[in-house]
Amino acid sequence: MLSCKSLLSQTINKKRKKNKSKNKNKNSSTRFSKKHNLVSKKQNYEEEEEDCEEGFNFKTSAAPSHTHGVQPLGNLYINPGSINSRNTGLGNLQTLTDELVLDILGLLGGTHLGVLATVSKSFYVFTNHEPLWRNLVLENMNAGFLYNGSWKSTYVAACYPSFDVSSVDVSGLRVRDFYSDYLFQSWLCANLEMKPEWLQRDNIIRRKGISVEDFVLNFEEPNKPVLLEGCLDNWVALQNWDRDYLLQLCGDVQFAVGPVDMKLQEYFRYADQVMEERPLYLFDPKFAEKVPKLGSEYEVPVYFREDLFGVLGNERPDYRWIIMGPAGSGSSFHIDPNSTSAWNAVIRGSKKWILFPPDVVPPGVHPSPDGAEVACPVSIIEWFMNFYGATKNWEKKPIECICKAGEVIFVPNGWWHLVINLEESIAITQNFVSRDFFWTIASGIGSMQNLDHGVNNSKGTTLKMNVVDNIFC
Amino acid sequence: MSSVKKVTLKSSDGEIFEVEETVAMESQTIKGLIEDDCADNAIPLPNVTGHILSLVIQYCKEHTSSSDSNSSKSNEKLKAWDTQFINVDLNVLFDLIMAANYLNVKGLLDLTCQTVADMIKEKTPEQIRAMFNIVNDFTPEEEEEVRRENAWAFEISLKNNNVVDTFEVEESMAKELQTIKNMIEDNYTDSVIPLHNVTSDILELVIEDCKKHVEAAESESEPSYSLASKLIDDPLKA
Repeated sequence: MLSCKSLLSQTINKKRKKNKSKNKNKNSSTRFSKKHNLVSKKQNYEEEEEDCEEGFNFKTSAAPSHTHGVQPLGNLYINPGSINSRNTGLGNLQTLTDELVLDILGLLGGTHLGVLATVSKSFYVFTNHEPLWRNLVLENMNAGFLYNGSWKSTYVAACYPSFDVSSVDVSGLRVRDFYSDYLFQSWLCANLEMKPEWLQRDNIIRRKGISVEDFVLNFEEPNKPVLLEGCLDNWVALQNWDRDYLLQLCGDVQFAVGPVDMKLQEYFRYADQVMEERPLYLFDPKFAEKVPKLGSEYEVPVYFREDLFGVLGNERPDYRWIIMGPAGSGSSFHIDPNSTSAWNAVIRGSKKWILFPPDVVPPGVHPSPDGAEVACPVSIIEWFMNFYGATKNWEKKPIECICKAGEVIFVPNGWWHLVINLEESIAITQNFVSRDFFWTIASGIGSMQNLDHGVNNSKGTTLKMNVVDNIFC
Repeated sequence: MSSVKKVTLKSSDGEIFEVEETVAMESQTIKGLIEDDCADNAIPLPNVTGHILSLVIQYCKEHTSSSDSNSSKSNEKLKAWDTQFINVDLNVLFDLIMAANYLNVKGLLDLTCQTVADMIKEKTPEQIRAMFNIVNDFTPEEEEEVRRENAWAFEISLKNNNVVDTFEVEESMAKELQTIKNMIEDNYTDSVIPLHNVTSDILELVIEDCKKHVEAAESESEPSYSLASKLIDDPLKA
């Protein structure tokens, strides 16, 4: 059964009762369970029934405040006479920003960080910053690792097997008077729930049972997104693909998870325990080659069968992926490479999509002048916190939707898109060269922007040359 | 002959620097301003003092000319120059980090951060506190807890010859053995120190003996050495 850790609050489906007297502050005395396998339905949280315009809700299994007691800088000003132990504990280093301190710590090995943790409370907090340990694990253990509740614990358990990590108190030391916006924000984003108003807008066009001609005429050629219902009804995958089935079928097959490979069972173990801002995402372009049965249990929906990528034969770049991830995983804004279009079918779970047309750069996103690189420095959840609101007043509003199991979204070529899993999800996506694009390049008009950025790491093949060579030679 | 394009930079304390455009563009921040046509007058840099700015400019000059294809400066020479350059006071070093960050000079930022990181490596907590003027603000109970949590970081593994027998020992104890002490002080980077000349059973005895020695030293009684520990210190006899 899939883990039910979810970013969906019950308030989406309920009428919201206004109750302004409730205190939303993170330090309120709500009880959060520390277990990570709670079902998504929350009990006992009266706050969930309120209009959550201010404040944030936290994930079911989140701690009520930062693990080590870090507070944001603003609190320093409301605590008169308080000193910031961040500074006293850093000594001469206190003039550096948090990011710079972390940059320096990022150059150190595990043992150095462990030693540094004992220097002062400030260094204790900094060296326990999970992304540091995540990098150490991913850089040094790409042959595989067993996630052990936290990245630090994972690293120590693997490198120092005789040390009993379980003997150490899980939550560690709580420090007082430590104020840091960066570290607090990092924790906040790892533990936040999606706010209902981020999920409200659903303005994509939905169609069911339309003809291929209808699709091509109204969506593919004019390059418009659409959500198609009912075209996965014959997929065996829709019936079969749940955790138990997949574990039985290919639990010890290595799948591509970001920069490393992991066995599927190890990935699920990680997904169940993890609580971080940018969870690792299983995104494998060779799933059908690794496990042919998986490839046989789905088929390309009828609308997308004419795919001119096919002429490239073995030279075609990566074009199909199985995607699995826990709540909070996803892809920040990007345009698919090689000017391809894509379809994305949700088999389990649900995904929130935000799409902008090619000529509208999303707020908070900075593409390089040639479009080849995209800088989107914030995580998905931080984008929602800081930039989503800006889209409300724009003339060119984004297209948004929640795509649920059994639905397929068509992402036209060149469109910016952001996706976040609202609960643990399994999906299949394929890139393809639409008929429209073929005519564009065949007539020599099309420009070859958008090469090689985005989450899909296609090989940097010169698509145009290959297609032209194959068709016209 | 066309004159070389220059830009004017103004530090926080009012010092003016006239710099070749190519040199100034080592700073991505300044490069952006130039490309956005904001560099006709002096570019004010309120976050950088004159002293630090002059150092940054020095760095940029050196690194621009080295990327010039006419320059014969090798990578080694440049590294040597960098090592000389970075040999500054700690406070200057931190100011350079901030300036490199603000001005977005990647090479300088990498160099300065790496320098600080190297200072931290292989130091004891006491040494780190002394180096950066840090007060130990743990209570004795907290310090013990934190130390316990990170005890693994204070161990060194000694691994003997063919049999993979690893002994994890406290660094202070391992340093009783001169050979190992030298390795540690020379920043031996592996976490496992192989001892090819010593078998497991002998190594076990040596470790026991060193433990006793350390404990005896702490209680101020006479130290005693065993034959086996002498073997470690004298590779000829092993």
